[in-house]
Amino acid sequence: MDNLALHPKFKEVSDECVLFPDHAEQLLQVYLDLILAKEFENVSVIQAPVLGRCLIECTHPDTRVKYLILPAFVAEPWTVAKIECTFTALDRETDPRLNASAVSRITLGVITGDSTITYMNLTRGVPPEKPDSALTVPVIP
Amino acid sequence: MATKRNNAGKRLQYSVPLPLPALQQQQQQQKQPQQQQQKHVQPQTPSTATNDLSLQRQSVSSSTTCPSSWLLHPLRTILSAALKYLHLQHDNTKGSPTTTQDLIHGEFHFSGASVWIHEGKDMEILFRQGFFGKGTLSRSEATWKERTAGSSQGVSLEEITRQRRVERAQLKMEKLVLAVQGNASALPVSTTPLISSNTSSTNASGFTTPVSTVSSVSQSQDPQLNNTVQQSIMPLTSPIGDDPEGVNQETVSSSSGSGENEEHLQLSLEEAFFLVFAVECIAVSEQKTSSTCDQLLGGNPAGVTPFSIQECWLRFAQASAFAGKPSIAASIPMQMPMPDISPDNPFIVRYAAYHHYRSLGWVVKDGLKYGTDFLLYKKGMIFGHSQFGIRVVACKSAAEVTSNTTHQHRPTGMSPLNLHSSPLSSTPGIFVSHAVHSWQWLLALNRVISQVQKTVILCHVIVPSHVSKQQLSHPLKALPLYTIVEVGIKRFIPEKNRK
Repeated sequence: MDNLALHPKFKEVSDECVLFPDHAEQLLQVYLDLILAKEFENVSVIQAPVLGRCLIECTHPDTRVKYLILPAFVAEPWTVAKIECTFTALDRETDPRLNASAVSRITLGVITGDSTITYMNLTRGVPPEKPDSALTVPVIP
Repeated sequence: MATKRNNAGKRLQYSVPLPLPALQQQQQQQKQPQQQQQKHVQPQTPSTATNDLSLQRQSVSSSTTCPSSWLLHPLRTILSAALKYLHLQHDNTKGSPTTTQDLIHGEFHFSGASVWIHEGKDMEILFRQGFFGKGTLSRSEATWKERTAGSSQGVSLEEITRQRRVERAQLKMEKLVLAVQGNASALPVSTTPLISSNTSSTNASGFTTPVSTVSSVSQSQDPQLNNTVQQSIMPLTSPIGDDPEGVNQETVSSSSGSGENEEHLQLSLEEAFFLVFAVECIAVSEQKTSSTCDQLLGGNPAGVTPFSIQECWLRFAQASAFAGKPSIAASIPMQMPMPDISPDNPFIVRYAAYHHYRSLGWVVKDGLKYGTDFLLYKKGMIFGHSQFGIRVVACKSAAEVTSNTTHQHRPTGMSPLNLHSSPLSSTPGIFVSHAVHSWQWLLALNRVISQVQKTVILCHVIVPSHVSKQQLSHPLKALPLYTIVEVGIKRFIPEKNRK
């Protein structure tokens, strides 16, 4: 934690890092990636005490789609049961932003040792079918 | 001509490798005449594809059954590194720290299982001389500061890229709309519905005639298309500074005004240990300093001393073992004698493969995005795409499995392996893998890798079962016990693959 505190942007996530020290480094890395590299907008950290970690809410600068990102290291084991527990825990959170995403989708930000971050969308259940804009012709009811 | 000039410039900047220790350079000079006598073999695996082979080595393909061994060639490297290490230790005891003063300082992060390099010049040296590490805010080389530096003077490179992306998306939407309108105008206009009235149930369910549907498209555009186009136009008319939240504005102002580089170079544990153990150019410690090792050797009262090779080995293995459980790891103090690590420790297994390919001259990078452990580049990612995706699989030899099943007694002092073995393939006698890998897993991996024009290589690291804690405590004793077996996988479709 002392090493992280020396980063100039640490103060923006210091409260969350102190609350959840086990996930502080991955939170800071994904946060920096979103605001400095990916240049997402409306980036804010949401505490999830039931889940025991923090998530990052952000908006894609081009598509304006909102994402809820859960930072995780690559070595952290994920099972189907753990993913289901994550959605269940989000459902029980008091923050309405987490409740809304619990029924739809969260994005996992997987961090490797050399700081490569891979984002994976996790949808609870079968995701809605995405229409192919090149082929679909709208139907008049 | 411009391409040639560009490539020549890249070679000047990126192709100078980090200087190897003097003894290793002498070994390389001796290897050169032997290399000239070797025949050129059609490359199938990275071991056969490289030109840095010094001794004859047999690598396993799908048709052979002889396991390869990297004991002979790397043994020389390890011995020379050991001699150099002993020379270094001797120098340190004599109190002549001139060698360590030139070392790059790295900051070890236990919870993140990584080593951070903060100095700009050190970042440049490590990346340009061997492609070690990755900038935390960049795709490869740490260039975030240069890319965003233009924001105070004009438009930064990132902004130009973003505008071009938006323009391309807008152009694509316009072409799509024109294409749909073109289809609509090509169809003949008819008042009679194509669907007969006999199919009343079908009409009741909401089906419409194609003519009316197409006309609706021509008259009113898809609202989703409209939204996408308008959203894509928005960033052009509303620059980042107008962001109501002010997040990006703060970012731009802080990055351009303060001039501080908020990016650092991050090394994975394998890269960092290779630089410590084989190249001997960095010193890793756990405390952050604002300069190189000059401060460490300058009598820092805090007593921050870099890790030795053995300490790095044990700390990295420990970090890898507890990577998913930082709260447990924090409660375990670093003490000597060494903490308990197993022979199939993830760091040791991965490092064996990493060291193997690096010693053959490949540039080894992380391959998570392609579903592999490593990617192999011939010269570096600057010069071209990677050819091979390496999947590291820890296993142990079939002979040891047989001996363990027949002889229940194990000698005392050994660290027994808790193995759950199951056969991977129908090639008995070579190895038995640890985890269960199905054909679906292999084919899915091959599908992903093939789509990006790469070849899957299963790098089996045969883990020794009868190994003492003393042997595991130092890489010079532990690494020679591991054996690498490579298998190249490529799907063959008789109807398509005519080669």
